[in-house]
Amino acid sequence: MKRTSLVFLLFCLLFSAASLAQDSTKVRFYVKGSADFWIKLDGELLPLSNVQMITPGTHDIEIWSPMYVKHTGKLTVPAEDSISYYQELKKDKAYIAYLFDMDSYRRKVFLGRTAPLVTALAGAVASPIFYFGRKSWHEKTVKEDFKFEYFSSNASGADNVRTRYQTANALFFTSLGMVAGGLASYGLLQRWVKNLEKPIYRQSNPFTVETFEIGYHPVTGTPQVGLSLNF
Amino acid sequence: MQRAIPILLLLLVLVSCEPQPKACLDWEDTIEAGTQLHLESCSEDYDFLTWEFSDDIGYLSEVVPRIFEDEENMSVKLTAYSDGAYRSDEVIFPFKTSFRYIDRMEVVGESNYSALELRMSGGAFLGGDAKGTFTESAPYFVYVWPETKVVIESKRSDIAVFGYKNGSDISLGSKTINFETYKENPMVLETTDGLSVKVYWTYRD
Repeated sequence: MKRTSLVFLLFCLLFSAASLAQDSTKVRFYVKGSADFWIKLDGELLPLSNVQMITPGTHDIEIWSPMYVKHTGKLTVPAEDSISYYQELKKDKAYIAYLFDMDSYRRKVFLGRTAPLVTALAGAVASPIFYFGRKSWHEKTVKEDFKFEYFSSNASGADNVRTRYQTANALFFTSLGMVAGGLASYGLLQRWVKNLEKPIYRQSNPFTVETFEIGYHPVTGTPQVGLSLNF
Repeated sequence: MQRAIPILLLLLVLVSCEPQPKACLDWEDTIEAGTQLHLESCSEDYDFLTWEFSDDIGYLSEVVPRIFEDEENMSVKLTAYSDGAYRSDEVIFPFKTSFRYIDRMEVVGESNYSALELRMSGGAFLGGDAKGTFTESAPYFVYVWPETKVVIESKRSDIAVFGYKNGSDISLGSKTINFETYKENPMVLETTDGLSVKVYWTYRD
């Protein structure tokens, strides 16, 4: 008698386990959005995971990911072991506009501040180098001209040195121009750059704070904040 | 803009820190011809020098090694350049070149000789009536220039003094001189019997 009862009990346990398995289906969410996304199923926020156990049936589903438009739809879950759910979120238009605005802003800041300063700095670094190069080639030019006049030296040698001097001269004055032009541009464009408005992207996130508690950790002795969010 | 000021100042300092060179020549009006010379300048604050002689010979050096072959009126333009040759100063110096000629012989001391003679490469110069006591203020003279033009050759050579007594010449002393380096004026020679012989040289006027 006892053995019969034990077998019946085991059967019941197995049956209940099987029926429990049929109560929910493993749903793997593949959401194309940013790295994190939140899922709300029938008004309940699901744990932060892309694998969820959901009871079969049709559910209202909302998915939100930062910088993307919240997706609202229906999720029909069949009574199977597991299914996959794919959803591509659409990028927030305001965020796309923000990206364009930010790009434009950065370009303007570069043109109005970075480029003039880099130009002036490059000129300031290069001009002493070119100054000494120019000086050296000028001396060689004077000497070569003298040698050509008195020592019957090669005319092409003097021409070559003169060309090198002209190049060094051009580089030196270009570097000076870079310093002057860069600083002048920086000074002139400073006010314009200051008046530029940095684009801001504010996405109204769908979360609302449901509970908020401030506590005190008894072991570490540090204050603690606890909150729960929903969207 | 404040950051630019030190940079501009640095560039200004770089450009203006070169000192102004000064070209200078402090030569005599006449320079010896026929001998190897090493001509120098008294220029200051320069990096290099150029020399342009009126005979179309140029030098790009501190010291000019030259031999003037002839006697003539010349000039040299010396240009002193700063480092980089952006600044320069020049001086034009007229001069004449001349050989060295024996001008005269002066003898001081007590002489028992009827004549005294100076012998050297290029000629012998005899002076008569050499007996007597000669002092610094009233020496015995044997004039050479301008009647006789004897060039002191730029080489190692002997000069000797002879005294004449009873129709024969007696060597009173000699000296070997390298005239390429010896430029003293007068050349002094002490004889064996205490006569001090000074040989003067001169440039052509």
